[in-house]
Amino acid sequence: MRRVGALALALLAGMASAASVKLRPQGAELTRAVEAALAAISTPETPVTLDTSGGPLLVLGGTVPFNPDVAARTLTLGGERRIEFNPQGPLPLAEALRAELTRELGLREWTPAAARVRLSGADLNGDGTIDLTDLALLMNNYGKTGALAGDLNGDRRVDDADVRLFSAQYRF
Amino acid sequence: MKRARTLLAALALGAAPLLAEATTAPTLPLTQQARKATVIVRATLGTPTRVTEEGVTWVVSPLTVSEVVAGDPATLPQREGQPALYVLAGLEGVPELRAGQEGFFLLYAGRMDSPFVGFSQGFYPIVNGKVTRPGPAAETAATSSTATTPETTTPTAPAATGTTTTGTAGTPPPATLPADPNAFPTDPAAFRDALRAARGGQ
Repeated sequence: MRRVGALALALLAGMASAASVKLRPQGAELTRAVEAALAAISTPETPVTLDTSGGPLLVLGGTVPFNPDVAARTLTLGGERRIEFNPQGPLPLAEALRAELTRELGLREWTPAAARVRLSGADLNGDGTIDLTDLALLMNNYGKTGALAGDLNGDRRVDDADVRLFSAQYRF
Repeated sequence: MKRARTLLAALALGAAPLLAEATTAPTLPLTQQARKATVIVRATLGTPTRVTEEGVTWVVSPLTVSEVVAGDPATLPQREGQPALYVLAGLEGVPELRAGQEGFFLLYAGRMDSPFVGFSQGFYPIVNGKVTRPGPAAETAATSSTATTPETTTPTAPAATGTTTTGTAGTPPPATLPADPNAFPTDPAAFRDALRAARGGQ
């Protein structure tokens, strides 16, 4: 009963949450392009920000010549994942960047709605929607500790805080 | 109350399935691929080896050419006196190259990350006597091809819906490409002729 009460309160709270994505763009031009791309999928309720402390390197150009038909390539060198953009590629940088980041972030499309679903962590079963099935998964672990589905804040316990985070993403 | 928090999305993303294609390259119709290619050959792949040259590591697959469709294979990068495919090691989104695999190769001659026209598109394995696309589609095409006659020309590309062109038994397949730009003849001789036709009879 307490769980139901907490859930109801949380669903009414209408809180906002932010998501940060870990990417390491190199150079001012690419950094600006990444920030512009992230701004395009941000909303006041769910801002998406850049976290440069980790993630793949994003580079404009590369040491090995590009295939002329490729806009961007992904490779792993020395254990480091790199996404390199072809300066003379068939697509404008902004378009190539969106295509690569859509894939890299696992979005269905480069839209605020798709970003909210994917980056919020609330799509627990990964089916592209945040619905009662996800809520059921969370509530099934409510009160438990460990790395569990529903531990949205990563504190290794599923509790009211996670319910509140879920509620910020769930739409009736 | 409005309260923001930062989710370590990257951690969650580690478990996310990535899309099938790992590299951004616009899809090129086969006719365009044929026109852009410097060299087109029917060949069999040898055993791939890793070769480091000037600090760059490549996966090198020698080609045993059985038929030249266009261009001069001697202009391709050579390895031990044989034309070879040089693919940048660690590169994602390129076709899996298996020793012994026969196919049509639409190639650029210069040294670059991937020698295939369209980055990954210019490779058409021949499986069970049929021209296919790499990956699961190739297996599907190879499986389905057992139910067709050798003269049947069947589009195998995923987008090729409702555009099947069927030849009459005993009649040579058409030498031109089907209307659907993503479709192609699966008969090797018809495929070769279509490539030549796309290049204007070169």
